[in-house]
Amino acid sequence: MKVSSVELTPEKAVVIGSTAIISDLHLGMESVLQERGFALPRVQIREVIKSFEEIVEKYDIERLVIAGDFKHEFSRNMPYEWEDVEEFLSNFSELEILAVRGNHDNFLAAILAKRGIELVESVEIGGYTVVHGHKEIDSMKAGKIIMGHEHPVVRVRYEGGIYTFPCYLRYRDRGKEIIVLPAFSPIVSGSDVLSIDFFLSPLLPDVEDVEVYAIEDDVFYLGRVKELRRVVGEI
Amino acid sequence: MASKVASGIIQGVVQGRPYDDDEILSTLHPLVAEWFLSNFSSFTPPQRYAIVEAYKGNNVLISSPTGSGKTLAAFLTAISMLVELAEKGELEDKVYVVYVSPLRALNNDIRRNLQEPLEGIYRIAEEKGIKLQPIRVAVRTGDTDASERQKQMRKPPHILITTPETLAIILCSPKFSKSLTGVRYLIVDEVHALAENKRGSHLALSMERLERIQEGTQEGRMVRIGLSATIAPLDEVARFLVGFEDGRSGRSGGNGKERGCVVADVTFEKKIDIRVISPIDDFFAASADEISEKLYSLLAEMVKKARTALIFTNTRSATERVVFHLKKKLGDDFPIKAHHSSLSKEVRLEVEEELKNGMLRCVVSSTSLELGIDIGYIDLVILLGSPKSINRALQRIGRSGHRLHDVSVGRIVVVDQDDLVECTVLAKEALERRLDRISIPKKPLDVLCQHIVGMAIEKKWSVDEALSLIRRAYPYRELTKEEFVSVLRYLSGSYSELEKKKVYGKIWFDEEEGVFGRRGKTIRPIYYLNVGTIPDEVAISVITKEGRLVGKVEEEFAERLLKGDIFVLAGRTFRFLKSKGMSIIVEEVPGEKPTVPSWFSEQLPLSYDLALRIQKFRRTIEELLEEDGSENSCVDYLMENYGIDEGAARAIENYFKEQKLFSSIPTDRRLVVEKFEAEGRHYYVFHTLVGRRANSALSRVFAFRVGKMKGCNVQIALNDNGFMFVLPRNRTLTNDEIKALFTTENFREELIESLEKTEMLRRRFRHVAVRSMMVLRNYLGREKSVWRQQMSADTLLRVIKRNFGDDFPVLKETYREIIEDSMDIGNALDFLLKINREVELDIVRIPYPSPFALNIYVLGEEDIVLMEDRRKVIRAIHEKILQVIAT
Repeated sequence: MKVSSVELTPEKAVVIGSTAIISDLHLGMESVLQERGFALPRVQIREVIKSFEEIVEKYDIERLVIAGDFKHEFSRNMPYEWEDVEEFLSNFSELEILAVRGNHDNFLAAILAKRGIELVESVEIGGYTVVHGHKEIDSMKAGKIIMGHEHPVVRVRYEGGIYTFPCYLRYRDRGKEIIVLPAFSPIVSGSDVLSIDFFLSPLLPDVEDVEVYAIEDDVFYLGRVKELRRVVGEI
Repeated sequence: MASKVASGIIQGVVQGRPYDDDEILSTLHPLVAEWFLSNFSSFTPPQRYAIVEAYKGNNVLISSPTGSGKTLAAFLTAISMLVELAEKGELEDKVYVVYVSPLRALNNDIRRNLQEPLEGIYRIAEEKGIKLQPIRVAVRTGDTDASERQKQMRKPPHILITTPETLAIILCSPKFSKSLTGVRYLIVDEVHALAENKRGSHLALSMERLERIQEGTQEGRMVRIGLSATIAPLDEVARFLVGFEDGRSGRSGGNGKERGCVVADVTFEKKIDIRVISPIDDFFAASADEISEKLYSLLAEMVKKARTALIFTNTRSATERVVFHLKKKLGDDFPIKAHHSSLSKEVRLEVEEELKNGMLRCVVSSTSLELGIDIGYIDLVILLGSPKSINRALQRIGRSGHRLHDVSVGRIVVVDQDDLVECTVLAKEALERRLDRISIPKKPLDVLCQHIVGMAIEKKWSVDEALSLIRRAYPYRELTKEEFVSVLRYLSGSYSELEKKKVYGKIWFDEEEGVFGRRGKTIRPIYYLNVGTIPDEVAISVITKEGRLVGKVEEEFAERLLKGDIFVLAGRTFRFLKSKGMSIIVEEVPGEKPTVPSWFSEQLPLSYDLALRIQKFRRTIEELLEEDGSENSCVDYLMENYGIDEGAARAIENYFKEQKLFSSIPTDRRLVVEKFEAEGRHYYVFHTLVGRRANSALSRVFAFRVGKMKGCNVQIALNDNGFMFVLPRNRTLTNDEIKALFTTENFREELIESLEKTEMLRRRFRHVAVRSMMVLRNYLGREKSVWRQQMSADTLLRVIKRNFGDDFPVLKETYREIIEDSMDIGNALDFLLKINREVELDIVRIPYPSPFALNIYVLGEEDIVLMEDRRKVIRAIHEKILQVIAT
């Protein structure tokens, strides 16, 4: 679905021209879970590579921007994180890759440096500033923002069943625009925008004022959270 | 059954015989025999069957009532042997006898019960100037403190009293396990409380591991002695107790040689007196308040007349309710108390003490007093509502009449029409001792995971050697090598080819060499802290905005609530506002329609065997009603054959008459399906009286089929007597479509598919994941649920399924546990095969719910089989929002 000048794809990537922007891959999360006594076999990297290969194919992608939280653990590098990040990078070595620092990305620089990739605070793409979104930025400069960090989903009850859809969020206010990406990781848990009281990011406004674009086989516009909360209560 | 061989060691499972006093006394050490004769006039039935056989070296399984001297039956041979060694001064510092009981609380009682004969024997020896080495008895459980454990390490007890979990742990203890290499007797108490569940599977493997370390270290074999309450089939339980000589062949069905076992059921030696009592003649004519008033008056009367009464309810909440009402009737100072598993250990012990001392006139319990804790003198057991199985009825009623020669008196007080019918049949079956057959779980892989970790800690194994040991345990007799290796791969962290580093491996496994063993030093403490099969249920408190606690719900239920959802708890309606840590905040909204089906914790299910007998009973009554000209034949028949009073008999007759007039009576030859409409929705009631476990399987598969056929979600309500579907407004089923549901084709596959996204799948998956040590509940001092913090069970299930398929051991066991243990796919299929053969299908249209359907109808929506696809859901919301925005 095209909004403004960007494409919100059902594959959880924002596409601008031949650039794809994805966020919150949380690679190596299994190592962290395993360290906490949860023996989840290594599953993410395979799925992440496969999903992104499809994106590259479908949208003729030449450049990839990772909007933060490429890997999962913040305090140090876990065994799988090195491997997973490297495996991801080597799978897409033909692409230009730009990495924006997220709150989980300490120590990522070392891994990226081996491939000559710089870890940056923000990237400018097609009039948008891509950041992770976990801290304040100079909003005077950045009128239009693409960010991650929130892992947004909507959970709804329909005829007795519960359905969870990952989603994009969008906020517009007098020439300003913020687009929030869903988490690209298939295992990280989502945050239900219909039930939270506030966002984590200092860049975002009141929850009720953002618009929801839910993802299924296509992207569906579901209006502002304010209206959506009312509607899901009625169906 | 094989017959006895000349040596006295039997082969196969053999019916035992009672020995006479002289034969028994001749096998005992003179001091033990003398002590016995100075305390008892003669041996009790379990002693007659057990002592000589154990002396000969035969395994024994005795099913006997409480108060029949079963402790001595199990221990006397062992004591005699110990006294003999003690006299010769040959008693070494090692364990000769291991006693395992699932009840920690029972362990101290047993030690006391052993102290008495031992002291008596030593007194006699002293009088005679015979010098005996001291025989040490010790209890070791999870509660045993470090200093006591140290003491046992230095000076092992000769008789070790323990639990299945602790036994598994000490098998891995490098020092203490050395004391376990000369075990001559293994006594397993309360076998009936183990065989049917995973604690039993766990113990079965421990028994084989204990047996293994005996091999080649002593002259005699380890004799296994099992004690059980009423249980059937005894042969199979015996095989569970003793296992196989060798597990090498392992082909499905044709296994290694069975070990021998002598079995005996002496439970019938204790006389029972069971009657069914209805508080009211017509449940339909009376209001709920009237019924409740009559019920509690009746209970109060019965309690007043008894010296000490024990009342069993089926749920914990009912226990409290009954105490509350009885206190109202009998006065606040009437000595009556509740005893159930939610009460603290201290409170329960206090109640047990008061009961033993005769200070209480009445105790109300759910299941916590079913098992063999010594509860003193009880002259009346009241069962409020059907106990759902004949075995359980006998077990509960057996709690009255303390000594063997006392008559056990049980009264079943029924709470509604279906309960009356059920209990009438149940009481007769119980009196005639036609027991229900239990089912023993088949090769649960999660329990196996725990043992493999334990075995790896113990030593280095070759795959074949380990597999052969595991297959000796009855539940694992059919474990295939593929299954075993897949569990080894999973545990070693090499399940996926991606696991180059095997960072999470709990064992070391070299697949090429075919060997596995311990990996790392931390695994031992991890194993100790995470051993066991009983899942931790996390209860979430439900609190009102004002801060009042209204009750608890299970974690899985709380997790699925969305803001604004309305649900019922303890008969009141609440709106969910938000989650807050381990509690949820709600507001009461009286009279609002619930939006979320209530989710009941699993209730006691009616046994399949009893269900079939009730089906048959229905036919008998129908035939009596059809006999013309005999006005009272049905009532007379019931009073005469079932020992119920006229009021109850008439209530049954009326119930059946009404059903017959209004609809059709479902029997063992006729399956009735009723259809009707209410508020524009279509209801279908299937009177499949097969118990809720089998109904659960049937209803889910049928709902899945209907959903696929009609493209809609199907709401289900079910109980022991049948199930009901509710279809949305514009969806109906034709008679042909209903008939087409009755096929066994793809049943298992469709059942598994229908579990997708259900509470049950999530909940069981968590339990299995914890049991198979995928998720450690206790890890490096942390005791926090990783689930809640990091990811949803749904996501995890989906990812695992997508990447590893249904054969991933944790997933495979989750499905097995649900469809075989929680549900009953075997009997569901058994029943399905009868349809259109010995059972005809009768589809009836009725204007509103029939008498037989009422109890299912009032359950409302209990569960749902989802069929709506996600696209449809999101489109519906999308369209709705566009309308809202447009206006």
